[in-house]
Amino acid sequence: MKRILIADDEPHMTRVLKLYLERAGYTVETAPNGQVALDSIIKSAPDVVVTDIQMPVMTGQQMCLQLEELLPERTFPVFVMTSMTDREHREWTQKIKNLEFLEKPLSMRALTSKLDSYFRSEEITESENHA
Amino acid sequence: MITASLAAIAIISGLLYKHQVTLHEDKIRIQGVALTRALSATDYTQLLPETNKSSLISNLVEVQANEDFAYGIIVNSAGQKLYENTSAGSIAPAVTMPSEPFAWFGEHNVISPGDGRKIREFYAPIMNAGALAGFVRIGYYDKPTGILIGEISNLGLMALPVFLLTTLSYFLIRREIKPLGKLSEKIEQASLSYGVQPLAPLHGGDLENFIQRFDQFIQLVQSRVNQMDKDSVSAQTNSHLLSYKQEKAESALNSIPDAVLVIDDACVPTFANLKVEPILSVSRDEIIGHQPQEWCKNKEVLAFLMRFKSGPSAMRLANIEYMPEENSDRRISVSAFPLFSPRDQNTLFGMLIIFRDISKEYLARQAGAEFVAHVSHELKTPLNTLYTYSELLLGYASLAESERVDAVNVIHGEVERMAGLVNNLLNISKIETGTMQLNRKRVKMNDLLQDAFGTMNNQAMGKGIELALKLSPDLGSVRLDKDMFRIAIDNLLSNAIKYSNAGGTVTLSARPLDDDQMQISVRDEGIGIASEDKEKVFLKYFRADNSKTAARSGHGLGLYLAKQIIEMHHGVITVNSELGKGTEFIVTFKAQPVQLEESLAA
Repeated sequence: MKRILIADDEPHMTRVLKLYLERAGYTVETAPNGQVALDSIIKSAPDVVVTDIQMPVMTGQQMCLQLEELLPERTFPVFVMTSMTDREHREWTQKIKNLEFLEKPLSMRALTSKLDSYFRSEEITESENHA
Repeated sequence: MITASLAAIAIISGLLYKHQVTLHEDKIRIQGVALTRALSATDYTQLLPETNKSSLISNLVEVQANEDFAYGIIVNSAGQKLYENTSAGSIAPAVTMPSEPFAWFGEHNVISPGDGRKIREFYAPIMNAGALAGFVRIGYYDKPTGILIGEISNLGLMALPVFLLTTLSYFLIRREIKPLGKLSEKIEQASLSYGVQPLAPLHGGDLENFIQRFDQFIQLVQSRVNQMDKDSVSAQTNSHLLSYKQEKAESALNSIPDAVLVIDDACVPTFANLKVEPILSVSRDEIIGHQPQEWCKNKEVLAFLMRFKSGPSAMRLANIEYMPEENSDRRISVSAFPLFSPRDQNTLFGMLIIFRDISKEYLARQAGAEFVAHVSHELKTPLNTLYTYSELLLGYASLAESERVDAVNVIHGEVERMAGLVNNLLNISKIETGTMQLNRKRVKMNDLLQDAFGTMNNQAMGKGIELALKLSPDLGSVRLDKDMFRIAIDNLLSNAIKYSNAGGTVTLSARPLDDDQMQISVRDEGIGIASEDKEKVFLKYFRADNSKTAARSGHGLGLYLAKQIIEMHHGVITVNSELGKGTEFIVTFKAQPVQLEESLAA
């Protein structure tokens, strides 16, 4: 089962995302801020990280930049939840590899289809590699 | 001049001559009178010698012989000459002798018939046996002969120094008068330069001319001095007035909170008010009269000022903002306004530069921008939740009944949260724009606090927090705006609940104080407030900068709004807190006696 780490300071959001994604067949872990998420990633890397940007203690941006330093060989993607109004603050994302955007307000359907397509393409590359 | 010299000589000569004549007259008179008397006293027989032998008279006359002697004769009473002794060329005229005895002695003038010279004749009677026998007449030339010749050398000797003296004094005077003449001309020029009419040229002696001119000049100077005195008094008055006006203008310019700088067309400051010093951190002396490169430390400002050197085409950009120090919150705005000549509106003579400290405005602007960002985040967060939960309910996944109820509860809570935020924003906006009117009514304090407790109790229980109510049994009635007061109390309670830890207690208590004062307290056992933040908790948008606060959603408006409302009710709100132990907000306000209010209303 694919493991997904969700970092969001809004407990309602992590709760509903966990509920939804578990129904869709994923294992879900939650973190209330970037620091907790980073600790969890270092302990055991998930298959996908979904993170909010504005969080107390450590923001999503700080967490991503830390990840680049701590895990330069990282292969799993980070999905960043942003709204249209945050677009001008996206320069930092240029430095992060394997980063994708999820538009807010977040649609569950959009998230699951994005995750599904990601894992499908990953399976293809893996099978190609095996072949 | 030579005339004067000659005249002086003539006068002196005349005086000398007159003196000589007088001397001569005296001399001949003494001689004549003495001789005639002597002869008169002589015996007649002795007087006239019988023969032409020498006689007394001839001897006497010979003794007299000098150039003045004209003649000596003896006549009988009929006038016939009995004896005559004359000098060369002199003839004694025939004269009728007086017959009366009182006139026998005397003198008179006669004319010599020979050479026509005036002769002074002295006469005296000659007695013979007691009867008049005749007269003795002795004549002298009236004018001294050769007197001029005799004195001419003296005269010449006298005339020479006189002439020399006169000439010398003439040249001396000329030497003195020449500069006087020049002075006179200068005075005239001076009088011309004073702008008064030129002095009429004068005829006459240089000195007289000069004296007249000098008099005129002195009068002129006097009148000018008087005029100048008057002018100076009025000028002094004017200058006092002017300096007073200037001082007034300058003090006005100094009182302006902005720094005012006037630069000329070469970019050199010609005026700077006092405020320039704190804003530019340069003394006025260093600025005035110096190129901006010499005193302007900020490159942006320097570039801004130097633009105006290149002429009016560069006048378009007339405003910049800059940070006076690195990484500071201070912001200075610099504006430039063209200064036109008061006479010619097309002539530019410099620029008026205004430096305004807009740090407060900048902070407010920043705070406003931050507030907008913050509020929009606060509004978007529940919106995101609502979006996701409503999608969930729409059935993208089959949900258990409990999950469905849970989702609806979340939606309800988020809507409440948004509504609370929007209400707070609207109330703050009303208070800040001054459109909030308190609708004071008689309210029973116990009921009001009981209601607030009841409402907030649900919220507290949802978070595992116990809400306690401790009210004095009869707090009485108070006139206040019930809705607004509830907003204040609710904000205090929800704030206490928000920053409480699960299992903690929030206590709402109220008791009357002396002097009609009432005290309401909201106490929690939550995270507390750091002492350095105590003063700031009531500030708009303030949220303590720490992880425990950040972990709780809030917009920094609740306490600000509570304080505004309580102050509108003439109350005071204070805070006691210890980090990690808890916080107590205390509201103290005057409970206006209802009886008095009612009697006033009636």
